[in-house]
Amino acid sequence: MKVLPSSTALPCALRYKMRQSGIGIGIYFAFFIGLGVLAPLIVVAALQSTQGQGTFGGTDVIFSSMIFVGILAGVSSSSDFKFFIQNGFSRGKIVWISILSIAIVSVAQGLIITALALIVNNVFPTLYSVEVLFATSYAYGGFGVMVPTSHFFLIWFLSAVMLFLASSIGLLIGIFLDRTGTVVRLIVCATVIVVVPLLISIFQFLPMWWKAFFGRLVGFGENGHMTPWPFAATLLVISALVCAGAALLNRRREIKRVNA
Amino acid sequence: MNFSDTDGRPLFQQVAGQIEDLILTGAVPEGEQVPSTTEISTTYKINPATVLKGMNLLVSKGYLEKRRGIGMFVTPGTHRKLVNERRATLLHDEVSALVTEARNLGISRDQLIDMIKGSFE
Amino acid sequence: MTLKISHLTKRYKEKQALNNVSLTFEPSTIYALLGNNGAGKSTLLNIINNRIFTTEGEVELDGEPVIDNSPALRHLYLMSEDNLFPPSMKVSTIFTMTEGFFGGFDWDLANHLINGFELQTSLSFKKLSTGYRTITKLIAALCVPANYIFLDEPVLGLDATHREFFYRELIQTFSDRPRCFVISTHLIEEISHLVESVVIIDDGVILEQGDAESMERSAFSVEGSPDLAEEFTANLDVLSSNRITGQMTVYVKGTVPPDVPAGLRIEYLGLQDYFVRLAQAHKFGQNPSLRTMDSDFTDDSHDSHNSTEVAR
Repeated sequence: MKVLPSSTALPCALRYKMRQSGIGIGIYFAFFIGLGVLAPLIVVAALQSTQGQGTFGGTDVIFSSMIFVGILAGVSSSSDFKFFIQNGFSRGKIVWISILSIAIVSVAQGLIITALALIVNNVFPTLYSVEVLFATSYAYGGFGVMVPTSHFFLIWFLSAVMLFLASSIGLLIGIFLDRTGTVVRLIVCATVIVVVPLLISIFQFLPMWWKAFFGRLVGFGENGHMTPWPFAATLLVISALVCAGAALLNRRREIKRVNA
Repeated sequence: MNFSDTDGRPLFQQVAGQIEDLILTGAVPEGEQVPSTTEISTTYKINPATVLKGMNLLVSKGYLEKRRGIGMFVTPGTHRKLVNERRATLLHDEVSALVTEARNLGISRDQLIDMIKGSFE
Repeated sequence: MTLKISHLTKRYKEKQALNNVSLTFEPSTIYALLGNNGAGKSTLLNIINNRIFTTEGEVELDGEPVIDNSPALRHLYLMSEDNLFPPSMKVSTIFTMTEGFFGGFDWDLANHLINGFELQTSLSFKKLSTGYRTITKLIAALCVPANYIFLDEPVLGLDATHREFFYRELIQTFSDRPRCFVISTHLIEEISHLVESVVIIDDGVILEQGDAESMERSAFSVEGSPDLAEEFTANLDVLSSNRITGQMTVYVKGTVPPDVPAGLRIEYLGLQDYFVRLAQAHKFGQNPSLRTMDSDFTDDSHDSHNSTEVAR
């Protein structure tokens, strides 16, 4: 038996993650393209042929994608941890593999949705649109613009950043659920439910310059102008914090015994 | 071969004894190769180190000789040595045990001799 | 390559699972790790193999800490009752992935075992029966290039034929590629000749460790009339005893003294019986009067002793 140096372990783990995520992404797009694009496209086309130019359809692709990649990162967290621990990985390595793979998934998913949106929007401009909310607005510099037809790389980048934030939150929740019992989960959920509306209402009473500061953090300028780079930077910083939280939670993570 | 926990002897001595039996009964003639350590280990589920210890006991007695890379072979003249050794043990241990047991059961000297004669026929 | 475990203590809220456990596992040796349910065997194996954390203590491989350290963990592999493989993964994929993670896999042995056990590698893990799940985990454990292989209940759900086959193959692969095996099992009799060294754990402490041969001969039973047996064992280290009318069996630790009076029968205990008596003595150690069991209690522990046979 030939024994190779330890360098095969990480690529092997990444290949495993990519295959697992690839299957997930494949299923997602099969549904999205079938039910979210093709089916309504045919319906709209049929309606147009009978009723004329008045009808037009459209859907957003970024929010469902964010939810999807978040769930993908969360649900696989527990089984990945077990599998990698069985095969001699340290917790540090395991968390790096997770972060690296959600980054790759975000970039890939971002590429597919941007390409899909640009293709549909340019081929069927009068029939159906695939929107990439926020990413398009930032790419075109203001609210109201939601149907991307150009700016391929910028929209790809922005959607990848949004997807990365979603999947890092999914990863954090996955590790959190794996580590905690019912009581702690309920307490933390209750806290989040109470604190988030509280923060929103506090925000409304903040003085103007505070609001302006937060606005500038996410790229809101004067006269409703939106700039992409502060938005992307802020999202990346939040994602980094969430990943750091996930790594911290993973540090003392243990295998739960089935029969103990 | 047959190994027992409650035998008075440690397992490696039992292994050695069983190999001696192979030589005594002629199953492995002098100059021939005895079963390998791995063969005995896997067949009787005995740790290879224990089997090796038993083998080495026979090597040190001069009953077996190692041929590098091939295995263990019965040294010529071993059969006769083993017969002599076993005769001595038979007389010392087993006959005296038989006599003690016969005394406990109230069997007389002549009765015992008759019984032994009978079982030879 | 030596695996050194020093002063492991694992405390849970409810109980202390390990208490200052120190051990050394030498390379190229087959160990038995014996202990009753809840004795701390799995906790110990789980700590060594990075599944759970210890409260105190160290695990070191050649002086390098093992806990959560990938380069050292590559030399260790734990096959356990708990399944850590993704349930929907195909058996053949489990093996190829294991090869990728460890940088090698003994495919000759794997194929031999797959054929011998008649394992269907195209099935997903969750579709397998308990026995075949064990077999899958065993094959992975025997074929990885790691130097320390821990087998926690390796024959769970295996029928007698498969167990026999496994023990044979274990010795064969051990002879071909000597490495350290630590086997934890309840079927002690089946492995008692197979192991070279034994560790006995009870209540989170190491009761005894040593080579199997001397342990098998480190205790004996004395059987005969109660008066005679009691008198003979009065000054010996008695582990426990059984008594029925007219006959008594006393289990004694130590070497057999010379001059055993006629009428007493002496037998060495063997590994399984020794373990049972030792654990009993430990359990009731604070209260020696409880050490004398009625025969029913020890019934299942051994079946070759006359006293128990008579009691039935």
